Amino acid sequence: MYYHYALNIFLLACVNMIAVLGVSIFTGFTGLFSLGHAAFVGIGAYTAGVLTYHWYVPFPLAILAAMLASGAASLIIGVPTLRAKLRSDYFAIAIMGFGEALRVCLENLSITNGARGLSLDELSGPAWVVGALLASLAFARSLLKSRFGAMFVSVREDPVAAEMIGINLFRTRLLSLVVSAVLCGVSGALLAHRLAFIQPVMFTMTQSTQLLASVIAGGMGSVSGPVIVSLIFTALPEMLRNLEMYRLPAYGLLLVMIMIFRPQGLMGYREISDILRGARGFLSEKRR
Amino acid sequence: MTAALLEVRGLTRVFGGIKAVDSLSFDAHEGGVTGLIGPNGAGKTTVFNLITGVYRPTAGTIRLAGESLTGRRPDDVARAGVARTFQNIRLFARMTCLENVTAPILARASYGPFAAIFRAPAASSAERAAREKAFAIMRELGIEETMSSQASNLPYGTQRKLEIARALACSPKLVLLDEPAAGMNDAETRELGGTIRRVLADFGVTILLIEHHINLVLDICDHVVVMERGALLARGAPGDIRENGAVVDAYLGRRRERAL
Repeated sequence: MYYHYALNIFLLACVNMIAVLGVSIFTGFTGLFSLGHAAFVGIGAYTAGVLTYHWYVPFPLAILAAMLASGAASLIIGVPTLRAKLRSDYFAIAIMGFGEALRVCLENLSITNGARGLSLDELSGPAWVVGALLASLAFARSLLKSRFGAMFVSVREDPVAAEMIGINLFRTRLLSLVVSAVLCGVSGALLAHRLAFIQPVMFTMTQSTQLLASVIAGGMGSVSGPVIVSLIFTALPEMLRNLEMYRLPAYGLLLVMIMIFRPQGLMGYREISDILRGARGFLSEKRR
Repeated sequence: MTAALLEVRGLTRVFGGIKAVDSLSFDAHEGGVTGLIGPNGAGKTTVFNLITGVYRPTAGTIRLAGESLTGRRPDDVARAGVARTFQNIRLFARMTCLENVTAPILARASYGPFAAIFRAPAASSAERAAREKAFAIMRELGIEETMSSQASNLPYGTQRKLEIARALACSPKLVLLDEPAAGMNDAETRELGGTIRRVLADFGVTILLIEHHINLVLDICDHVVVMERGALLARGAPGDIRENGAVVDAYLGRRRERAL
């Protein structure tokens, strides 16, 4: 019984990690802030949910459709805002508006069953969730190791200099946005069929803020940091559930402590593998 | 005299009624060092920003080897063969030195996102070639030992050199250096002069240089363009410029005729 409960929380955390990974690529590596990425999770969730609910589309196809829909939605918001070279904070506001507009749409469409939400089948089992997480991690690692990763980081470090060495800011930022939205879409499709129920309030600014908080607390420019923190952020509220009213203050306290004691985040600009390598070097030096 | 690589004609830029650059015309000759000098506020950096596409010219044309650069985007100008350094150094602070120099080469690599995700052999070999090329450039400038340090941890003079290395990694035809000797003492400035001359010989680039160290300008430039209040004041060989009364006045102020 308890095992089942723990497994459920772990799988939910894995689903969240995929979305956090997406935001990490966009915010942590490309340097743009977003207060609306929950919208891409929502689009993924509703695309997959509507397809399996109304038309009994096979689950793998529904995930694929969710990825496409979230990617396409990111183009709709990304092309006009990123082309205008809006400064990072303006972009965060523009995408926040997009997210809220989406929620209103979801609440008023009949196909989404409005604010009452959709009851779905529990299709994302452990194999799906863990498999998707591992595939997403491998995907992110390859992309960030490649020339695109180098371009993302150059744009984050100094957009003016990046443009001056021949990097097209608009295309680089747009690519980063689309990749992050597609990952959020996968996360949404899995979330919908993990909880077996979705409603529009699950994809609001609160969720966007939580995704961003995981990335900042985990560390900018790191994959492992945000992923670890998102596990803590998903599990902690559940573990503190019997403390009921102290749950939210504890969560807030944790964020404040991170900001005071580790302003660069848990793993700012590093990976867990760097630390392990460092530890190994330290140990072998001691032996000598 | 060799052909003009960069041709600037009637270049004008107006900021809210102030002519920061006023119908300026000059050439930068292939394989040479052209100095762009003038008192503070003369509009030198604005000229760099107009050439590199940061600002759009109000009027006038800019051509590189016959190809028009006027009104093109900065990344587009960079790909046409113009690289630059900045007056206030702009490195990718949290990247290593080698990554800083590799970035322009990788930006020009041709493999797409799918080759990147599936780690196609073409991607890995392009990345290896980029690192090797970047390392060779750093060795040429004598900064290869810093390759794995973070760029922001370097001493000031080395940061300047790293910025030049990053500009050279763009495979440029023309390199714009904006006050490379700013904040350097005489010994460091002389060393920088040597570096610039070596870059010129080894990389076959043309250089346009903004500089206030007049000795450096007279030492390495073979042509000097003097600006004052956005307009051309004089141009010619360094020796002639030194003797030019108008230039001396612009820098030092006119000697007032004694009244009565």
